[in-house]
Amino acid sequence: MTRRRLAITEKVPTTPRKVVVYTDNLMTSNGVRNATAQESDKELEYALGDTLNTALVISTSYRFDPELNMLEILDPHNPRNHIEVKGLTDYQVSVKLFILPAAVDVNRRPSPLYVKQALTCIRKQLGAVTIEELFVSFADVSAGRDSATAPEAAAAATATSPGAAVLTNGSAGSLPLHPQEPDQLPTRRNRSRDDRRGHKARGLDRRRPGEAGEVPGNGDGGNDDFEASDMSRYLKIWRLLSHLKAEGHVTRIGICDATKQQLENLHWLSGVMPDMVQIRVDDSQLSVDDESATGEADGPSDARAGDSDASRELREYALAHKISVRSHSDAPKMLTNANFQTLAADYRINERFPTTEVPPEGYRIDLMRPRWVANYNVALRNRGLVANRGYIVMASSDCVLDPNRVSRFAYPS
Amino acid sequence: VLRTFSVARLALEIRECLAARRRLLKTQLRPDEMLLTVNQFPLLGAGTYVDDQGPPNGPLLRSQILSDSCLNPAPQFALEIQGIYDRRGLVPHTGVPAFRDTHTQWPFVDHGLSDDPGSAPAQLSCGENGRDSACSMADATPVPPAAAAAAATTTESDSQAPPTSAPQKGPSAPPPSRSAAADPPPNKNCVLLDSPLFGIGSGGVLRITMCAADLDEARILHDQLAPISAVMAALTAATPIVKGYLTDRDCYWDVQCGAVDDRTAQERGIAPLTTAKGILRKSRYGTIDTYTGPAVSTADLAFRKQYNDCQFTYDKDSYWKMKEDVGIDQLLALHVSRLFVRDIHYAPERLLSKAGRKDKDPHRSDGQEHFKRFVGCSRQNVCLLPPNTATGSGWEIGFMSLEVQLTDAENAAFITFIVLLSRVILSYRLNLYLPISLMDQNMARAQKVNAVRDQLFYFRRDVFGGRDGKSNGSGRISRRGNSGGSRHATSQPANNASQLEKAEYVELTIDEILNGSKTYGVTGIMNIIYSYIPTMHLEYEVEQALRRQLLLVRRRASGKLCTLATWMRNFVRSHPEYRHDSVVSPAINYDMLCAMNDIEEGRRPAPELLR
Repeated sequence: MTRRRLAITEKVPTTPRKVVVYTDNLMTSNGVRNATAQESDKELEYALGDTLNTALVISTSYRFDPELNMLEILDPHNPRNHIEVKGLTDYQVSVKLFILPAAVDVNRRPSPLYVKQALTCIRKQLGAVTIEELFVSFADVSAGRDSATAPEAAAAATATSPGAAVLTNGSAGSLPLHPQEPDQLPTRRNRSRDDRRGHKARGLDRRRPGEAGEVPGNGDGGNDDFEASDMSRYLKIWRLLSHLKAEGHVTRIGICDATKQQLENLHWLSGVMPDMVQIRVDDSQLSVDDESATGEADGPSDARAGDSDASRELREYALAHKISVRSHSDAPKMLTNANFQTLAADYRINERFPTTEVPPEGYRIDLMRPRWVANYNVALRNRGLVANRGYIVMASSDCVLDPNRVSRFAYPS
Repeated sequence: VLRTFSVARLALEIRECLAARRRLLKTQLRPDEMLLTVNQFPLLGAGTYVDDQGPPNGPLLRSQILSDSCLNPAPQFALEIQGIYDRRGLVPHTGVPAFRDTHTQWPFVDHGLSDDPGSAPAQLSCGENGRDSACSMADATPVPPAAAAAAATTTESDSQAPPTSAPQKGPSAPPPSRSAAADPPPNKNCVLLDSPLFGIGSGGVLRITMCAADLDEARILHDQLAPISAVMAALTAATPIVKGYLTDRDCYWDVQCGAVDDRTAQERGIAPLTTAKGILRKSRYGTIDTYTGPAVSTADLAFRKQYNDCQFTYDKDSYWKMKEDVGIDQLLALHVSRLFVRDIHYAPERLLSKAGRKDKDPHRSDGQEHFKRFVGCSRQNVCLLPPNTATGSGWEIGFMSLEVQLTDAENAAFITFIVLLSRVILSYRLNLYLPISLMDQNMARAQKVNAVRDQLFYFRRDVFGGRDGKSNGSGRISRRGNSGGSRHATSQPANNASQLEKAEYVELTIDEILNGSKTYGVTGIMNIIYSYIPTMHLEYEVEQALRRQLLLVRRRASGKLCTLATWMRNFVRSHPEYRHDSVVSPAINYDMLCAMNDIEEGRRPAPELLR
């Protein structure tokens, strides 16, 4: 080892490792032929693989930030993909942020820090742009929509990878309460702002299932519906989004895959109604051989066979409250832990860190898990063209308590 | 004038616009009249087909089957017809191969045209492979006048020549200087049409004109939309009946091109070249001869010179002037100088007046309109239209090879498809280049019966690549060895993958072109459009409407819905009065048109056509 390398590794990083990967512009990249945007999870995997291959194997275009302990794997073809504005067209940037199951704070709620981080990365990639539309998609909400409304089923369905062995930070279904698991003891990383504002943050959690009657959106009664439509977990992020909107960084905010009850609940809790809601449209609803789907370009008033009551209810609600309804066909699980860890192992991301990770006493370093995926696209709306489309993925590892590494002696030396 | 485009409006308003026009026209109809958007009245020219039809052989049209009352009395149309006749020296004849049914008289003889040599020169011309010689290409061999009869050796032995082709000994009426020669061998089993009115007067196309941002973009669109034109022609095929016979063609493209053919005998290669500029292989309406290529500044290597492999004549003076004096790049200069080989047949006087001061004569044109006439003279499957400061339009691309459909829904769906395709071409910088010869072959195949299901079309296998000059690259860093792609489950057949990946062009059915094919590794065009739509962030209802329109196109491509041509054929063949001799009687025609009107107005369901 050279002298310089030793110097770096002597410092023990205080924050766990982070990796941010920027993919290439998917409109012009080489891999666009292999997966279309309809299978967006495959597309994401392919794009990630492509970038990692180019940036790590073929040429080296990554940056390491020692303070943040962050490896930035940049878009190898366009390191700073700033938008050029040509002529009179104006661009619209829209971003969909997938908050993955691992992006939770100590209270097991999705943390707004990740949202801020995502927006910073978007700005790095595209320049200081105003984001026209920001959708946020919570993994458990989106995944929970597919299964039955029973929250237990939801929790089971979104259990993540076997790769992250014992300490699966499996997505909490919709249950706000969990038995305390060892990994939830305050760790160095997890001591976030939320803890310092602990009493305020936890104040909202005081609402217990017993008070179901006071909270709208669960008029049907019963614990299950309450659990499914309780959006208090997402409140922090939602508040952040409304702040961003108020400050003008984001023009419209939206939420994905929410039911009508969830929308009502969110509105009641936070006072801010989303501008847009995205619902999942399965593309097989309009298949070529489907007898029930009509091919005539009729007006939107006819009912289609693939239309469910809930979806219609949602659309009516949205119409009444001036929420714009969009559709998407993204997979419910965008980037599972296992897939990312496979990629990380294949391309040996961990070896690119010039630091070694020395966990503090009694802790160990977990495998890296993806926290969020941001899908941005830059379109020239008044010409109908798409200039730029890509993904940004951020993953980090956790410093978690390892019971096996606790010192055998009762008293620390 | 800043024109904005909105995909939402495209999805919703096009149909409304078309419906509004239809409604407006229908208010002017009498109770016993109906309005149909079909390419061609099926019985046009079939004896007596309409009330108050005048006698044929009129002085304006000089047609044996159409009377002069068909011609719009406005002067420009008469001038156009006269101009075509003057230039060519005789009335251009077109032949459409007849459909051979069980009881069709074979060899087919068209009795519609009389064999009276004195009335009009009945010079019939048809290529030996059944296509009109006016549109034939490299295979049209020039025939010296003396060996007109001997030229029949290229076809099957013509034991029973159609009686109407007998007067090959030479015409008597027209000026001798132009048409002393006989044309190439007579038609085999063709339905004969003898007036330009079959082309410019009555053939309907769905013409889509798209505005491009600047010349560079217009060139890209011009080139990339040309290979698709054959696919679209096959998808929208709607003309199986011509002059009251069932033909062996579903599209009207060749007939239209041949009917307005005004090439002189020298240009057709029959007479030796003395005064003409060169041999013109195609009629003035036809497919494009040359790609314009991307602009030099874009450094796009997708275009290779080998793609322009069609021989064509261009006007050398203007070419050199453009290239040397003005500095236009070679391909665009070729493209424009190609236009000047043709002649315009008439022009308003103000266009021909000498250049004077603009304020003295406010109606004097500044050459733009004049040039636009030249552009309009030769109509191709994709046209590059120059900007016009008077109307404020910019560079435009006209897409001409779609046939008009029966209902507004279908027309709107195809318009939407083409416009979205143009957006996708620009967004993804698709590379659809085909050599011109393959494109022409596609166009020939597209017109055959039921080409949507039965024919294979040349298509570029990898539409995303080739921008760096190599067939598979996209101008980016190439991957080495075992790359990320191979690790992550992309299903490609291992054995013949390498073989197929090397092929630049493959022959695919239209279903595979549009909907994709795993075996050939083709991303279907529809899939590309579907991955473009979410980025437009449309409202839910709008997006569903858009998807339903595209679903119609997909179903036509996959064969679940039949084209209008197939529907018409089936109707005729299942009609009780039809005697299986490829003759469509007026009664059958009437019933068919009534049925089509009922479908269009919604009174009659046609699930095999529309749903």
